[in-house]
Amino acid sequence: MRTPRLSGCVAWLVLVGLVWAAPPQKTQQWIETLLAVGGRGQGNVEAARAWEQLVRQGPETILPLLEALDRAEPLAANWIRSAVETLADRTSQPPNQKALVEFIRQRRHAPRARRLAWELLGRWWPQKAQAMIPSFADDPSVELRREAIALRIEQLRQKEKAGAPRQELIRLAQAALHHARDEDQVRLLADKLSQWGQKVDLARHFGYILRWKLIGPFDNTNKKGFPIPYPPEREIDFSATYQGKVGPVRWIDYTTTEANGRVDLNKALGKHMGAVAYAAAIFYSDRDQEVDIRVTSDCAVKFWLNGKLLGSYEVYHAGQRTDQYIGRGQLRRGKNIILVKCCQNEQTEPWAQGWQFRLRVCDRTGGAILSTDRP
Amino acid sequence: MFRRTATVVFALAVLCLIPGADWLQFRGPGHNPVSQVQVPAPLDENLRWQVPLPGRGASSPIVVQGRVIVTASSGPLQDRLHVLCFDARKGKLLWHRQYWATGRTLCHPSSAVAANTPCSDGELVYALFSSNDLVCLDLEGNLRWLRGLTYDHPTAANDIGLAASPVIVGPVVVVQVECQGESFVAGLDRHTGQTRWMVPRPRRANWASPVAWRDPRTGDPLVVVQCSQSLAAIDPDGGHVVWSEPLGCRTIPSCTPLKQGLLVPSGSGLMYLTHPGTPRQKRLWRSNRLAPSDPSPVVVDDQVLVIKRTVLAAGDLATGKVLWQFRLRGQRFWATPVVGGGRLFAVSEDGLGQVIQLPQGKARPRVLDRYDFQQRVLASPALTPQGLFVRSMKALWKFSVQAAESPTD
Repeated sequence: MRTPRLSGCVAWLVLVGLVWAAPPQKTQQWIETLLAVGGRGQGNVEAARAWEQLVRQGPETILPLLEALDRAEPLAANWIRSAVETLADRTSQPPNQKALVEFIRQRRHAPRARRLAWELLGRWWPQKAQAMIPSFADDPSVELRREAIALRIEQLRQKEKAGAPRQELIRLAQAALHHARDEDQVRLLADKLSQWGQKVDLARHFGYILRWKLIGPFDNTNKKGFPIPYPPEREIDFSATYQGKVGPVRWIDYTTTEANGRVDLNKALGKHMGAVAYAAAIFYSDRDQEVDIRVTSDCAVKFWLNGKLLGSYEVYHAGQRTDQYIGRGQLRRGKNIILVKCCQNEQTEPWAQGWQFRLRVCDRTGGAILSTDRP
Repeated sequence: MFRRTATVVFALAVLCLIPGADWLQFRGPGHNPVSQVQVPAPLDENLRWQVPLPGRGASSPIVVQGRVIVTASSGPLQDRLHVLCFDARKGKLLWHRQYWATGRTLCHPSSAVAANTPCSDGELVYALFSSNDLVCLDLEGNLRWLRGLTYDHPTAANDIGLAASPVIVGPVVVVQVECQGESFVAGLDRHTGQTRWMVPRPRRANWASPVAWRDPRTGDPLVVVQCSQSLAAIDPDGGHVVWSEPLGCRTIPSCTPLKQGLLVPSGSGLMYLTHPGTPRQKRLWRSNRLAPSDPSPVVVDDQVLVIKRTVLAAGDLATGKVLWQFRLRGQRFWATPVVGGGRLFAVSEDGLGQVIQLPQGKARPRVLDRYDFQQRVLASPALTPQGLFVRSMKALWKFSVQAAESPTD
């Protein structure tokens, strides 16, 4: 008795759903409204109205929303993400599994969109989502890649526990390390390899530049030196001598041996407060390519690639997490010049005495890009 | 059966309507975490539920119409932002929304990007993060608007982390962003997120939160903001600075507003300032012995309570005279304690919760109970008729004294 009544209800609900489902062009119009959200609150009011309509639609709206993430600026992306999650919470039916899997597989889509799609897949089909993880090891989405590396680390642990041969463990760890991007995973794998007698060149893995030419100190009393374009900002002439803060200064060669690529300017140039130093590196590329220049420093820094300013941060002694400042630039085929300006202030606290930076060149995932002349 | 269920539902509905049933912002009603509800003890017997959170957080829970709302941040870069809503009674997750941080997510390893406590007007929730992402949601988790304040002001960031909690005053939700970069206090329209006004601020790191206060002369609402250089009041409608006193305020503990004045952590002391910004302004007292460390001062009747390093101290509100001091257990305290029914609940950074019976007359404070959360706790708890809500780094806890659950629940 119950089944016909139930199926009747379902059919009725489907019919109502069809009647109420907005035409695709209307859905696209609402999505465009979300995409139009900009800075300073621009488009929020319109987006709120469009968002309300979108979350009333069925699961078929999820995929167009995910695709829209390919074009979304950061604020619009959050509107879209929120619409996807709300829709997923409210819909009685899951989206099309095949379409979702296909979307995740297509690496042309925005990394965040694919990650969100994978999370949705896991919500309805956890085993399917789990099964996809091994394919993420070299994924352009660092978040998806992290899942694959975590899985490999876990497999490594199990094999080690089961007494697998050392050589097999080393091979597995090296393969995982090759793809690892997140610092915690890299360090964990490097530590394991080190325990097994394998030397890991972390500076190379991350792409830290070790060989520098340094010049300084120039004056930064009262933090006035940050905006002043001292001679190295106007010309790169490694044979030149300039007037510095305490006398003539000239470029010196300096190679750091620290695994994290840290250039300790107190060590290299002497301890100076209220001082500016410049560091230059020659970087050879085998082709024209877009790169990330990632800088970490607890001092105020500016950095340039081939004369183009990629980052300017006048912040003193407020933390120095890896990849603190990221600039996107274009390497030319052949010779390139990377320039860093590192400013120390005059704070007297013990924790404010560091005058240092580290810089790496990498792709969008954080994978090292090395100068072709690197030994 | 139906009757019992209906009774329970009715009782809960009434509970939600009791004045003070909600805890809508950092440090609760009036920015002074004192409740009519007694702090439950012993805690282990009164633990109702504990739920894991999907990320870290130093932000406090707020309680709105029977819902507990809390923020979290996750991921190796702490760039996934979470807003979660739980049923206060059972701890059931009602909704969970996530966002990608659009601002900087660097912060001190001991803190989190979910450092700022959300606030609510009872209908809408405003969740701010250290990345300066601010989202407005209704109680069903529907997004109403969002802003990326570092997206708009790229240098407005602090790599140790920002932590000032937003506050609702009149037509605006007020955010205080002070760092070595672009610094400001902004009033954003509660319903649209549009910037109604913006007041430039000194470019110095500051973690103290703005407070809502009524001018004792006119009764007009004001936003009071403190920093290492001044104490100032801003008109929430137009954003003009009503008064500004050159005063070296502390940059972590926030001031506590009282009817006639403000208790201001300043320099190495605590100051009671009455009628600030008027010709009647008077520094009633200033005490170094009552200087709070990182937790903010709490006022209970005619006493002020502060945590100075690991010492709980009480002072006479009228004179600033120290009445008693009591050493707490724990290494360091970040969370502002809560007081209810003559009891104080403090929790140390290393997760040791302590229920202290506050003394009457010449008696001494007394430890009623201790509870080890076995997790770091930086967030100030919330105390409502529905219970004591504690947010540890990775979980949300509820303690309450209540009769056995109805079988129909």
